[in-house]
Amino acid sequence: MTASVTPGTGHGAPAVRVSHLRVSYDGRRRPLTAVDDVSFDVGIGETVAVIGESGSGKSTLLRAIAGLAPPASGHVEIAVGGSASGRVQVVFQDADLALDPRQPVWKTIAEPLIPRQLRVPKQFRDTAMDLLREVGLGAEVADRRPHQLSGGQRQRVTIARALAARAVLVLLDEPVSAQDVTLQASLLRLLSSIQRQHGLTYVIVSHDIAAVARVADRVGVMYAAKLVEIGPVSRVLSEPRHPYTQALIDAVPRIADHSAEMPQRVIEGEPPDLSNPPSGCRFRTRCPFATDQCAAEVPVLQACASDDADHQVACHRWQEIAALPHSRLTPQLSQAAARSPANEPGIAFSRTREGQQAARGESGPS
Amino acid sequence: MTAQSAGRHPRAPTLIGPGPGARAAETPALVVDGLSLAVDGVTLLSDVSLTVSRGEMVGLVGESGSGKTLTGLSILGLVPHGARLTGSIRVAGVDMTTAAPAVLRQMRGGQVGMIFQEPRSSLNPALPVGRQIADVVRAHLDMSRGQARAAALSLLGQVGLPSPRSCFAAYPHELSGGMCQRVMIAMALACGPSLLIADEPTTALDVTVQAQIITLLRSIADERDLSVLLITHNLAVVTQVCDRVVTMYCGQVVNADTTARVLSAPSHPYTWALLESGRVKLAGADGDSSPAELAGQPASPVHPPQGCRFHPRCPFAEPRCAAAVPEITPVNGGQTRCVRHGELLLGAGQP
Repeated sequence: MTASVTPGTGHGAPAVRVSHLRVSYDGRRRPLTAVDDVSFDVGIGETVAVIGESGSGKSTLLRAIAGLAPPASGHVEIAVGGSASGRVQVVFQDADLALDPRQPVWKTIAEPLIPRQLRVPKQFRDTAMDLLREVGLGAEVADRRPHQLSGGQRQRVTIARALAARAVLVLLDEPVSAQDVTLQASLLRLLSSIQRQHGLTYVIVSHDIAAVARVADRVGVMYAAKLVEIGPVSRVLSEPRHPYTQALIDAVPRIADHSAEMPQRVIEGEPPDLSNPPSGCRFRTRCPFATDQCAAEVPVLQACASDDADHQVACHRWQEIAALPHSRLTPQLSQAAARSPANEPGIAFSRTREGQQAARGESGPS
Repeated sequence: MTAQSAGRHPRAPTLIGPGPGARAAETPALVVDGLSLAVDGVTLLSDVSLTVSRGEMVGLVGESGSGKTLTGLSILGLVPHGARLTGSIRVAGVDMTTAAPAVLRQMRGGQVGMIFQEPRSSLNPALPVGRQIADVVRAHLDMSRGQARAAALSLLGQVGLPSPRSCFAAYPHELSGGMCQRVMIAMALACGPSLLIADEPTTALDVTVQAQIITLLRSIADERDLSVLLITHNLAVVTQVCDRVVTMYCGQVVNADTTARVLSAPSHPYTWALLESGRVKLAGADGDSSPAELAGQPASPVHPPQGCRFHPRCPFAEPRCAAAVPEITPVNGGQTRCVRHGELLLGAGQP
C-alpha cells in the first residue's frame, strides 16, 4: 500500500531476514520456547505486521529483531546501511513507561541526537521542535512533561524520538492498542506518512488485526510461538487459509448490521501452555478440522498456490478447508449451534440480540 | 423494597436462576436520575440520567474520561472520598445515594454484581478462587460451608470453566485472563443479582477470548432475565449484544436510543462519529477507504467547552452550538443532546 518495494521474498536484499529463529526462556521451573522456528523477510520500505494473542511470542520476536532477546538458534540479519547504532528503533506499547517522567519532552526527543551525553544542549531544541511538528504536535507541548500529555500525544513523542535517531527500521509494539478508537486512525495515518517521507521499514506486532490492516503491506499470524500464516494483507484478510486466522478475523467485534442476523463464530478454548505445547499442529486442540495427522506431524509453511509464494500457510488441511462450500461457516458450526455454546468444545454460534429474543419468544425492544 | 429484603433470606442452595421472584415487574432494575458528581470542585458527572429495565442489556459507551466508569462506580456507592453527589440512583427501588452502609453492603454483591476490566487485580492473589466465591455467597446468604462450596462449584461450571473442581482450588495466577474473568462473572452471579454492572469486561482479553466472554454474558443475561449495564469504549461489542445504547461525553449523557436506531439513524453526531470510527475495514487494500474519524482530543470536565461540550470536535457545529448547553430532548423514543438533531440525517455512511 505505502511502499513501492516488492514484498520481501527474494527480490534484492531485504531490510530484515529472520531465519529459523528460536528464542527460549529457561525459567528454572518451566523452560519455554516463545519463538519457535520462525522465518520471514521484510523488504526495504515495507510494513510487516505480526498478529497474535498474548503469549503467542510476537513481542519476543520483536525483541529478538531489536537484539534485546538472544536467539537460541537461527538468526536475524538486519541490513540498514552504515553503522547500525540507532538505526533500529523500538516504539514500545506503553508510551507512559518509555518516556522520562522528569524531562520536558523536547529533551527526550533530542536525546538520540547526542548519544552518550547526559545533558541536552539547548541548540537541539529547534530540531526537536521540527520533529514535534512532524508528528503533529504543537510547539506548546515541547516544555511539558509526559504526565501532562494524553496517551495519544505521548505515543507521538515516542515516534518523534525514533525519528530523531534517524531510524531506518522501526519496530512497533502495539502502537495503537492503548488509544481510543477515535484516535487510532489518525495515529496510523501519521505512521504511514512518516514512513513514506523517510523511507522507513516497519515491523509492527499487535493483537488487533483490524487496526494494523490499514498500514501493513504483509501480515503474519503467530500462534503458540509458531508462524502459521503469512501473506499480503489483502489476501490474508479476504482469503485466510489457516483455521486460526479465520477464527481471529471472525472474532473481531464489528458494528452489527441491523438488517442482517450476523452469526459470529466463537472459537472455544485458549492458547496452549508454551512450556508444554501440543504435539503436531499447536492449534489442533482448538481446531474444528483437526485429524490424527494434525496430532502426529508438525505442519510447515507452504505456498498457497504454485505460482504464488507470497501467501503461505502451515496447515495440513488448508486445501480441503478452502474447498468447503462455506469454509467460514462449516457444517460443524450448524451442529454446534444446536448445542449449548458455553459447555461444548469446538465452535459455537452466537446469534444476534434479535435472534436470541426470538428464541425466547419475546418481541424486540423497538 | 421487597427485592432488597429478599436478598437477605436463604434460598435453595443452588442459588441459580433469576433473582427474587417477588419483585415488581414494573420497577426498572436501575434508574439513575439527575446524577451529578463533583470532586474537589470539578464536576465530573453532570446531570446523568439513564434507565435499565428488567432483563435489558444496556451499553454505556464513550471515550476514556467521559465519565462512564465513574457512573458505574456511583451506582455501587463507590464514589471517591470527599465527592459531592446529587441526584438519585435507584437499584431495584433502593436509593443507593441515601442507603445506610449496611444496606449498601448487602446490595453490592447481592442485588448488584460487578465485573471489572482487569480480573486478576480484582481477585485476591492469596486465596483459591473457589474459596473467594464461597466467601461472597456466605457473606450474603445463610449457608453452611458445604452448601457455599457446592454453589461455587456449580457457578464455576455455569460460566463455562472446563473443570470446575480444579479451578475451585486454583489461585488466580494459575488461571489465564479469560478464566479469571469467568471466575469474576461467577462471583458476580453468586447471589442471584438483578443487576450486573460490567466495566470493560473484555478489554484486557484477547480477541478470541473476548468473543467467548461477550457471548457468555449475553446468554447468562437471557437465561436469568438479568439486567446488564455494559460499560465499554467498544461500540461494536455493544451493537452485538445490547438492546439499548447510552452515549456519554465529557460527563454528560448525550444520547440514548435503541441499538437498532443507533445503527440506522444515530441522533447525535458523537454517537455517529463513534460508529464511523468503529467500522472495521478488513477488506484490506481496496483504496483509501479509511472510515471517517474524529479530530481532536476529548473535552476535559475540568474546563468543559461553552455550550455543547462536543461542538469543538463536531463536524456539524454551528455558532449556536457554542451559545448554550443543549438540553437532552426526546426524539423518536430515544433522547439526544443536540440542537441540530432535527436537521441532521446521520445514516450509515455520509450525512
